[in-house]
Amino acid sequence: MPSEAIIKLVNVGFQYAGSEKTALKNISLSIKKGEVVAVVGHNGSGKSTLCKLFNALLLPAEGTVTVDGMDTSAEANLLEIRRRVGMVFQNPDNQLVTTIVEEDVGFGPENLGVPPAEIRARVDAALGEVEMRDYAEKASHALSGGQKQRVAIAGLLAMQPEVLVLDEATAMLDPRGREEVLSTVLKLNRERGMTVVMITQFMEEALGADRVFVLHDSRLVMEGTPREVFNERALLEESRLDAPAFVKLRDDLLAAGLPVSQDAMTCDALADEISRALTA
Amino acid sequence: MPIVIEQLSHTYLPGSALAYPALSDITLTVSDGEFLGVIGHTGSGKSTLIQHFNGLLLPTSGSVHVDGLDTREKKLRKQIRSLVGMVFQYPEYQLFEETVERDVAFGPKNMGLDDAEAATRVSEALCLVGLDPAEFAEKSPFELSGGEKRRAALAGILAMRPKYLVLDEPMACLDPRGRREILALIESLRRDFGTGIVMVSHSMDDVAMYADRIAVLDKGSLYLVGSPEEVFSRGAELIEMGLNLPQATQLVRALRKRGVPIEHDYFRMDELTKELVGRWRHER
Ligand SMILES: Nc1ncnc2c1ncn2[C@@H]1O[C@H](COP(=O)(O)OP(=O)(O)OP(=O)(O)O)[C@@H](O)[C@H]1O
Ligand SMILES: Nc1ncnc2c1ncn2[C@@H]1O[C@H](COP(=O)(O)OP(=O)(O)OP(=O)(O)O)[C@@H](O)[C@H]1O
Ligand SMILES: [Mg+2]
Ligand SMILES: [Mg+2]
Repeated sequence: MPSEAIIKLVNVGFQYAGSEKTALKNISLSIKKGEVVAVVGHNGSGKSTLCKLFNALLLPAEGTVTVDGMDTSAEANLLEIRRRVGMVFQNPDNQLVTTIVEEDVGFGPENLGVPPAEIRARVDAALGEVEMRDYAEKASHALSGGQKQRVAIAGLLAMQPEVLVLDEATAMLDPRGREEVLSTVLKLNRERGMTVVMITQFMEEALGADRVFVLHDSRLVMEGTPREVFNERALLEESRLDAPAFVKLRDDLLAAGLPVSQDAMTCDALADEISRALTA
Repeated sequence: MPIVIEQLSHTYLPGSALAYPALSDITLTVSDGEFLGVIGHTGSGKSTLIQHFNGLLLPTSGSVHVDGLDTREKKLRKQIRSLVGMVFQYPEYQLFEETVERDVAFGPKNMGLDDAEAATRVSEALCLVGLDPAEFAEKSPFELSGGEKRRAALAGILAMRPKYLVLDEPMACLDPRGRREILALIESLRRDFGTGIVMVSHSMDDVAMYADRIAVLDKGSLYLVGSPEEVFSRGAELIEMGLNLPQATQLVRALRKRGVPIEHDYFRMDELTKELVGRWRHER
């Protein structure tokens, strides 16, 4: 496991201008290069705010945020930070800034100074990755909700950042689309060592992460492997969250005396365990 | 009276080089007090379809009648809009006032309610969707988190107390407890007031558990409409078109593959749990 921190927060606090409530309180965390982390938490807990600190879209009011050792508060670091950390917003409309799909996907790389021929190649590859090549010349505003999310994800992929930050980027996709995006992202992590930060309300999705961060009322209240976090059923409930459906089933079966493994957290793993228990 | 959709086709930008046929020949009825789930792959035409239910989009051919009112008749549109409350896929499209309170009050005031009655409805609706009025009423809708925006948009529609609630992915970005609470709320509106519900969703679990019938769209056509039992018995076809089965049903299939003969296609995890525990006790 690589150990170098690509993103590091020390005692970070944040408050929106004109707001009485603090959006983030005293958060310290670090994300290692090549790690896949999931961020979960109730509505308004601070997830989107936290992730906007990772690429200097927001700057901390207290404490420090560093990306690859660079302080995000120093303006001189901005371009280098944006080169490293790319983000898909919760609402893709905030991302789709031009009028045509392929221009939108090329917008990010262009801003990073990527040469035109290379942009062309990246745009084609990224649109292919999200299966939107047929829509390359369509107007971005004339897409369905899920198609917009796919294009926003393509825009991120075309920037080839070291860190992919996905703010509920698959919330509007159909089941297959969600699986495909997740596996694309995990492939980039495996093959190119990209670091992945994904915010999600689907606890099942967080199971695929190396580590899970749980936010509750502006604070980081838990961090650990999916197994550690999702076994804390009472704490999750307190944070308005839930364990994945198959984890709950596993616990109910265990409580009823069925000998299934504590490690079984997915459909297939549980099916193996249950069939073994029932046919033994 | 129901919402009657007859041979509805819709083409975006008809007659131009960019003409795009998004729906073809859809015939479907949403009965009074029914909960209709709408599922379909990305771009299958779900949002296009439901935007016809309050006359926001008009048929290129065919017709839509809401309680007998033809959506093509311009003078009926206001009446239709007060019957059919619509929550968009992206809540940003319907939040535009300076404060959350004013946003939620917009619909009721537009219906001619006086200030006092509108204010009552606003705080009632905000509480229903889990936004504490003391904290949120004076906030700008643009300074809300994603899930808070969705709740505010829903409150604005609930405050109008429409006869039909048409919801486009209402659960997206809600936290797990919020999902449960809002689903329970929708169900109670139907039970207590006979509100008809149309819900577009990518969650097979939600539609399986709550819908009376499910309409499956595929590439702009109505592929199938039927009870959850009927629809989810056709798992292979659904998976082929990019959809899936409820999680409990997925497990049933996985168990059958491993030689555990579960007969029933369960949708609810609690019912499946009971069956599994029963089998375990029986075998011992
Ligand atoms: N632009 C803003 N101005 C003022 N307050 C804001 C702004 N954006 C968010 N907030 C507030 O800050 C808090 C944290 O918001 P944030 O968007 O980070 O939450 P979140 O965890 O992403 O929630 P969700 O799950 O709903 O997307 C919320 O209470 C929200 O109302
Ligand atoms: N304003 C528009 N102009 C042209 N084409 C459009 C317009 N809006 C949608 N479309 C196209 O019509 C098709 C159906 O879109 P619609 O938004 O109804 O899909 P959907 O089923 O709601 O998808 P999703 O699950 O992604 O929200 C899509 O292929 C989309 O690109
Ligand atoms: Mg958010
Ligand atoms: Mg849609």
